[in-house]
Amino acid sequence: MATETDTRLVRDRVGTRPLVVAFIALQAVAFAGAYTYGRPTWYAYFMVGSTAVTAYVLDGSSFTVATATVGSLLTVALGLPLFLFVARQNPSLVAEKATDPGVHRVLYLGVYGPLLAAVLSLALGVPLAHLLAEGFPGQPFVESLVDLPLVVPHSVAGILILFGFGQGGAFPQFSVLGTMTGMVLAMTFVSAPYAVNATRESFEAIDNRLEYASRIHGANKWATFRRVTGPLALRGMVTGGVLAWARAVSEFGAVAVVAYSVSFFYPPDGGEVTAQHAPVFVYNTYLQGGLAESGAVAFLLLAVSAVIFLIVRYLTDDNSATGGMP
Amino acid sequence: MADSMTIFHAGSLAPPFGEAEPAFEDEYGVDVNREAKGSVASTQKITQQGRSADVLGVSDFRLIRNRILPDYGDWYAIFTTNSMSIQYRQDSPGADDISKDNWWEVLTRDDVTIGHSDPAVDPGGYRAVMTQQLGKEEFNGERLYDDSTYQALRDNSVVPTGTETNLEGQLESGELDYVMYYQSISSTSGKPFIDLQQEVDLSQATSEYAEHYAKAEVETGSGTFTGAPIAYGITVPSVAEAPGRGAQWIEYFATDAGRSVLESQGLVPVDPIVVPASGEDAVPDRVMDVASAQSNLGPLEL
Repeated sequence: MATETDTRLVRDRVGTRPLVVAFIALQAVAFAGAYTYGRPTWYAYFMVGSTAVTAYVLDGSSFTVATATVGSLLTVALGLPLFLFVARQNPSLVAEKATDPGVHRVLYLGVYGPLLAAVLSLALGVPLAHLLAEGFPGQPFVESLVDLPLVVPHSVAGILILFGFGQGGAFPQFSVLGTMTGMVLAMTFVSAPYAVNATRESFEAIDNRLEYASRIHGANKWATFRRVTGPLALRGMVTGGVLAWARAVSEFGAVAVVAYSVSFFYPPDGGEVTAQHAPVFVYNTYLQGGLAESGAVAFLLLAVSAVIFLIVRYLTDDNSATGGMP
Repeated sequence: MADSMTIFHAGSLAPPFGEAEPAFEDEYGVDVNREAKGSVASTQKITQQGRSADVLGVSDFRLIRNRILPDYGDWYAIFTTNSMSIQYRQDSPGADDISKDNWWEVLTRDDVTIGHSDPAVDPGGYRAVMTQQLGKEEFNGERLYDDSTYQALRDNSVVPTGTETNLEGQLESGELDYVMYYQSISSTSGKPFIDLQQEVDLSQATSEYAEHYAKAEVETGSGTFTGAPIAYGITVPSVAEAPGRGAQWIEYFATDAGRSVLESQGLVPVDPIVVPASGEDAVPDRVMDVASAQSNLGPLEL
């Protein structure tokens, strides 16, 4: 460390929060400029270049500059289409959709249904992840089973759920077609692997000796989990839950086959309403109205999801980026 | 001419187009790429996404007439018709009793679930609702059932999908007992089906029937649809990259070989194919040679 250029003077003097705001504002201005001149490619170069420069100014080591630059190539690949999509939106159309009660119901269901699926995935998946982290004979079979839903094509997944559960399948007394139960089952099917795998990674990262210490001091396995392992793995569980939630929000194929429209309790109306899951609704809006209208609804869905991600990450990130080890 | 061609078409055209594809590829030495995404989605791909296709085939010619013309095309042809029918499983409730003469009675029993696709996004969906409506309308002084039976039919109906191709799987899974979709699908699926009365199945393109069909009206989020005989439309859009190939494909379905492919898949071809008289000049020669220009098909204005 002593041989690296010491550039921390800048950071210590100015403080990081204003820097973050300034950086984002600069990006926004640069994008707006590039878009107005019809040259989004400039912005791609700008994003990569500004990231490299910022990394150099804030840190100075060639390693950090390299990782930041390479990483920014990915953020260009992810961000540029998203920013262009946002720039293309028609503000009056977005406002019209934002005040449409039907769209509110769809957005509510689009957040609430996946939340149920994520909670179910975690409730059942965390115990499984813990067991997988401990290890047991025949483990590869269970691991493969858990990973399998990731590769199943989505509409096939929907058919699998219909045939597996519900009237023709394992639980004929329940109907899954067009019900909230069916929708949550379909969402859990496709998103549980994320919950299990992310949580398992965090269990495996915990030093075994901490568990041994707890046991030696007299705690049984339940108490060890509750007081030691569980809290240490909490961030992994949150990541798993967020991934599962996000995967369920974007699920189209399986939900379209199992629960094309569902009725659910909607607090603002104080009763049952019927709506479609957001991706299904966006697609139907596209078929009926065209790209502009469906784009407006998709924009609202993305905005709501982005806010949720920001809140969750802000609450659960540790603060090493802004105040930890140099 | 081009080596490859692209076709966007309705789900119910997938069986005949799929069957005709190998023979057509051999005969004309061209690679055919089909995208069976549904009538509305296929149309939207051209009008909304700026994609190009050499043939567009839809289950309701009015989609081409209203959305493709005049910006994305100049003409179209009506090449086949279809009819609505009821499909069920052998162990569906009431399967032993049901027949052409009592289907409404069986379908309105308690605990029977009837499925059809979403009228707002699929022509097959609004046509299924029209079939139910027409049973309560008088034709030559007689009707199949009364208004309360119609209401019971609607109460037993659910909309579990936006694409009729999903209905068969949902029926098989046991979640639906009866589904209403095209006879081209039900007659070729291997499961039992009901061939419905002509006054409800939207199959007859004559003035007398069309006036009767027009009594059905379905209101949806994407507009109000009036009952009409089922008439499939096909065209070579103006954005086609291989228009000559597109014309060859359409010409094929106006020949005996093409018509027999349509019939083998449960459709009812139109002989000769019909083009609107107003767009006659824009029709490619090879298609015009096998077509007849008219200003209306029975009661349908072209």
